[in-house]
Amino acid sequence: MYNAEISRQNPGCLLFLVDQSGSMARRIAGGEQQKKQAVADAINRLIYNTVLRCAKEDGVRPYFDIGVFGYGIEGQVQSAFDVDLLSVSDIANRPKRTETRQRRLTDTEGEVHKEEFELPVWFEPVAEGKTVMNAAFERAVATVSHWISRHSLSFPPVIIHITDGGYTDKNPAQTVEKLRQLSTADGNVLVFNCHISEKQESPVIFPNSSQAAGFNKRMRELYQMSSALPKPILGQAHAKGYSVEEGARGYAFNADLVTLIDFLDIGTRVVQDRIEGQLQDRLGDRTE
Amino acid sequence: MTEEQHLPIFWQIWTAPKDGHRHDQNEDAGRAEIVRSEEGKDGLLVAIADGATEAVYSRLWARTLVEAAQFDWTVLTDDELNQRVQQVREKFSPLEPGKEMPWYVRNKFLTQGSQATLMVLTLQGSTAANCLDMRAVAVGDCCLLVFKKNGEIYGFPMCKSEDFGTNPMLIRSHHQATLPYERSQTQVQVGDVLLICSDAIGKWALNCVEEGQQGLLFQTVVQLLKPVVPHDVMVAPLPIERVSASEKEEETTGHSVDMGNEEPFPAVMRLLRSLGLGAPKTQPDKSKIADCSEEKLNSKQSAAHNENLSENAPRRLPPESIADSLSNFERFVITYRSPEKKPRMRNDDSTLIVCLPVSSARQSEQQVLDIIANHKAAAQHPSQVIQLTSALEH
Repeated sequence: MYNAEISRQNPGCLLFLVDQSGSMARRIAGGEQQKKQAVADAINRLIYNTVLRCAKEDGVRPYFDIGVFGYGIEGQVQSAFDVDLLSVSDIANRPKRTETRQRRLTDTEGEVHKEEFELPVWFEPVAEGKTVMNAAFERAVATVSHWISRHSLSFPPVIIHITDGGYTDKNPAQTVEKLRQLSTADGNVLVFNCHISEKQESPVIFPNSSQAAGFNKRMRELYQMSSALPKPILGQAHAKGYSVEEGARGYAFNADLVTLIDFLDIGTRVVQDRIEGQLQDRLGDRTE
Repeated sequence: MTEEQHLPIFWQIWTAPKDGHRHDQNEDAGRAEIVRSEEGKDGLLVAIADGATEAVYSRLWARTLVEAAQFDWTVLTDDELNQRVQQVREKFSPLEPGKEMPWYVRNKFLTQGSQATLMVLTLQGSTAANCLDMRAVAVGDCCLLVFKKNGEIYGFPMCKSEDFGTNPMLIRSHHQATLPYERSQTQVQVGDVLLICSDAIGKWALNCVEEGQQGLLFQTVVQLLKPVVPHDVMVAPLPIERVSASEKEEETTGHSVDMGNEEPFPAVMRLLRSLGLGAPKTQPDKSKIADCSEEKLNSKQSAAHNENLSENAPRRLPPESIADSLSNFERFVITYRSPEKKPRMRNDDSTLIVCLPVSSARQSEQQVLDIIANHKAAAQHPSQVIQLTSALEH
């Protein structure tokens, strides 16, 4: 389970559902940015890193199909791309625009230099409309069902949902359950929920059931809509210094900027690390 | 003091890309040739590198390292070796100034560089009777297995299949703190066999030994070596492309090697003149590094050989009688990558170098097969591989 190697024949699937309702214009906890900008930056950075991960000098290997659905404007769910899921090899060549940023590079002699570079942008920050969360998950069910029908042997899709508030349409619990029941031969679809906040309170990340007992209604709803963390993700979370226990779910509450970035990284790295030839543990060890 | 002994050495290199990849996407590199050391002694230099899958320009970096390896690398200190590697880094510049390239290639190379594992091994005449001194230095998980005539098996730097499986150390093309190189040395005699491999085959070979299937391992070597070929036909191209930084995107494959008119056993053409005889080069001939074709080429076949290797020339298909020998190695790795096979080989670029001394150049083909057959017959039960250390055996 959650063991499949990512290859061109059996790519992985990463789908992001992003709340773009009006409240996302407020500032994120732990940062100066608006929540919409922090989320857009985090997703663009993740896509950038995924492209680099898959890049070779002769092109980007099609190891992942990626989707980003924003929901809110006029009560609609809109894809950041002109299709629901786009191969990373196509994403690499289709940024909406670029932004000039600075980075530090070390040369062969160890000297550090600053350099300007163009950072691609695929997902724009938007904050307008209602929190049509159920509509977003319904779109995800259709998209992921179709993808699984073509990739039944792949590592199961990972869906990461980022929101700052409660739903304004129907309770998405049933739709999410339908989504989590979808599966490939390697396991069920994983749904992780990240609630970002502007409050300066301690974030809660990857709680187990006993920790969830003290949650309020909204927290408990999102917690129950979150998949249990498979073992590889538990390992990733530990590696990042998070104290997580067996039974912990892919859920974060009151996430600040750092937690958001870690959540995205932990939630997706388990798939990225399964790229053929890049496994932390060689595949041969697991099958013998 | 006993004079140095000279023993002819046989070697052969095979390589194949991982399933689903083209030959020009194979990120392994290998090289074996006779060189003359600074002391004026002839020796065999073997270098093998495995480019990191996740990096860019890994293939070129692996080949650059293999091409740059020199005979004295196995005796340098860590600091000296790092200086040599640093010189290689400073000359490595796959990004051509002013040339348009995708942002992701440029960004990935500038921030991460290229990476590869590397092993360099030398064989040289020894003062001990009927021996060659072998020295090796390595970074990462390219693997050496030494099958001794007496049945002992040595491994370097890995001696158990479970030693593979963690991220190996890699030599980076970017700035890197001093690397702790691993070293070994031993003496090799007629009857011993050396296998030098990239990690997928190295792990598979160790699995064979651990599971008492050494016979399978050497039966495979026999089948790779054995195809009998009409002696006037170009044979057994080595699927190792030429290494040159200027040819980075213009690689050719298909490189027939002239076996000459007198040698019916194609693999014997890998048998070079005895160390100390002939005219080995002081500097490796870069035009011939990767195809191990230092032997004199028959002029007619040499022209055909060069034609076959020229950029954009269609690859000449071999006669049907040697088609098997061309694809034997690929067939072997493809077979053992199958999930049903035990032991199973990981799907990865795979390179194998077989190397062994023989007692004379006469009837050498039979000697090679006899030595391999002896190892095939030995140890049908699980064996332990001894870690090869830096202490020279006497």
